[in-house]
Amino acid sequence: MKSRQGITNLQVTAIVSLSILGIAVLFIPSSASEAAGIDGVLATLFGGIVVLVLTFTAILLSCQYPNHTIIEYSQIVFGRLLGKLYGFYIVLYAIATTATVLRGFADAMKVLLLPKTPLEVIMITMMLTVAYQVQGGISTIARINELFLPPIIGLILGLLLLNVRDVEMFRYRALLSNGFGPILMSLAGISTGYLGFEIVTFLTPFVADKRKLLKYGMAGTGITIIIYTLLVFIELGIYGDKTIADMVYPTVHLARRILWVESFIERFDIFFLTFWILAAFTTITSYMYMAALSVVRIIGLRNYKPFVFILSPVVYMIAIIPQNSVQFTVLLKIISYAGLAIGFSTVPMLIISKIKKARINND
Amino acid sequence: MTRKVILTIIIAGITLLLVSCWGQIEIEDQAFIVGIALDKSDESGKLEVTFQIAHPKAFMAESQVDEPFWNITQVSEDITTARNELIKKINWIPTFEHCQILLISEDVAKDRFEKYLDFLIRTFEVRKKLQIAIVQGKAKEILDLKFKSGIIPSFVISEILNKNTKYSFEVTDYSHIGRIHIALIEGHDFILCRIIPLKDELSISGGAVIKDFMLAGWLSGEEVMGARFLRGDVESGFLEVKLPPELGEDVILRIYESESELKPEIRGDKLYAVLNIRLEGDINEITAPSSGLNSDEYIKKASVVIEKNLENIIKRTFKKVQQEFASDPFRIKEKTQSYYPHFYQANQGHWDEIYRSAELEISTEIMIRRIGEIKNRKD
Repeated sequence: MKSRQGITNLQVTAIVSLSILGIAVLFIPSSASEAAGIDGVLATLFGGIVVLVLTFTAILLSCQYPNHTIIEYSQIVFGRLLGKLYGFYIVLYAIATTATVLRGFADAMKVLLLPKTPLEVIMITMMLTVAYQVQGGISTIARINELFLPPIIGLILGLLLLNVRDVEMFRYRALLSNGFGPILMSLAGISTGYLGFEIVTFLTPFVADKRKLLKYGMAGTGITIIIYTLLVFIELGIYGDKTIADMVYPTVHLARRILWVESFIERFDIFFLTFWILAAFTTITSYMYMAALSVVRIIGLRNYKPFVFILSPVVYMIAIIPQNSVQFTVLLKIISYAGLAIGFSTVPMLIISKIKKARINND
Repeated sequence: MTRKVILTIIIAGITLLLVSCWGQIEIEDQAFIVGIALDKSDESGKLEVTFQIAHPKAFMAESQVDEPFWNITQVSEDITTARNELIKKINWIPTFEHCQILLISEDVAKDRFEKYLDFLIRTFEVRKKLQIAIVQGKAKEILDLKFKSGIIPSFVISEILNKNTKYSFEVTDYSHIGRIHIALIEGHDFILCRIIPLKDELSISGGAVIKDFMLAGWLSGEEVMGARFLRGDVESGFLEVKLPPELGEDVILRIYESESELKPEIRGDKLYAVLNIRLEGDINEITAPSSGLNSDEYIKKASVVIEKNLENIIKRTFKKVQQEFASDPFRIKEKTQSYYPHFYQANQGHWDEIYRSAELEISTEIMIRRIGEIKNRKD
């Protein structure tokens, strides 16, 4: 049985890429354009490469301690007290991010698809489904992610293909007209759109073939880089940087403007959003899993499944804190930078763990 | 066993309760607004908004309804207020989800009209392919016309604008709402199509040049053809050219493929608009065919004259729009921002002067591929 041996490599790729593809896919062209104008394309690409490097260090670090999640090996690397503090930070981050993605998803649903359904109903139904999946265990999560990967990627690529002929290449003549400055300044902000890759730090104990984890984990991030960059490229090519920066949900606009075979395919956005719900669902389950697992491991117990149901109301209560979309954006910024900090922390952690291992070998 | 039964009942019960949708409105309760016309009202600051509402029953095979649509006029500040007033008057819930056209009369267009378009961009209710046209006259009258080729005027007009633009050079459509959003944000001008109400019919030809969201002037059918070449969105159509008598007098060419690209070039401090056109077509009709029709020489001679002819039309259009209307609906500003970003940023302040003194350079290439099915041999 698979659950005995562990999750397969393809499932790892699916988990990583679908954890990243969540709510950010709706507005990343807008963020990229606000930050860097027409150079937003390059900023998205380079931001992705930065995250690719962080995925690399995160996986290498996790492979140093193949049977531990980050909660445990952070105590080895940083020492017991600091490690436990770092663990608490991760617990808070995971719970807050689950709440933020849940709220972002519900807000988008309310505006785009279900204007009359109460926000609470959207959030609770999603929360229940997420809780049900997470308590099924990592193998369930892995199987669902593997199942959802082809349709979601296929749909986004389909969306891009149907719009590619309206790209106006002359807009890209202004690329790099202000040098690399704007791109470098916007890198930190754009990299936050790629958050989700930190799930790899929790996966190592459950992976069947740990030797290939590096390749497949990075492939997960790689898929997302290609998708985000193409998406931003096409959006900026069709609308130009100022107009995209003005839109709240630019990707949905891309879906709406499709008119194929003389009105045969219209209002593609409804179709798109249906599959996007799957992408948001997988992101929320990944973070919920991180939250439950990290809580349990900090306390020192083994079974995280009851904690899923204890954490669900906590997540919900945090999700209803923002009163409007402006406050939500503030919350999103906070957890984005918190997550990026975790990502960057894998670099010193890797260096420290290598030094420690070298010292142990020398003794 | 009892547990299974109870469980099944509970699940079936919950499923039945979950099946409805919170935001559901029955289709018979909805008033589908398929067309909107804006006219100036006698009350100052207000508009006459005419909604064309379609009966869903009219689309069924045997429609028992005499009137497949009806027009209702409201006086209010803008379109959404008019819609809100409508809710108070009829027992249906109006929706813009199937709105096909928005007709703006020239009186309304003479003042800035982007405030009426805000809801088109801000909400998701309206479809992206909404066609917007300026009516040279009263917009309401268009919605009252009877068409033999279709039941509801809104649909007929929208189809003309969607499809016929590919078969004629003199009709133009504005693409869709996304372009209005871009025009709003980046502040550039555009051309909307013009509808002229005649006694019992309409004529969709020519265009209205919109500058700063105000009507700057009209373009005739021929001028719109020139404008389309400048904008770069020509497809196919018929070209009528007057040739000298020895070459055949009037010639109508059927152009089935055309490409045009406008590039800005800065030489020194002056802006040049370089237009490259390539046309491919067949001869469809000649008034006085000469005998040497089926020869390379004829085609070469005719091509030269036709190219010159087309270039003159385009030059005239460009001059008219550039000088008389002082407007740039050809996206020259947009392209200069991308081609020469530093130049544009440095000269943003007096861009209007630079544009007004811009020169147009055209190079046309027309390939007359076939002369039709008769050769006009002289025996």
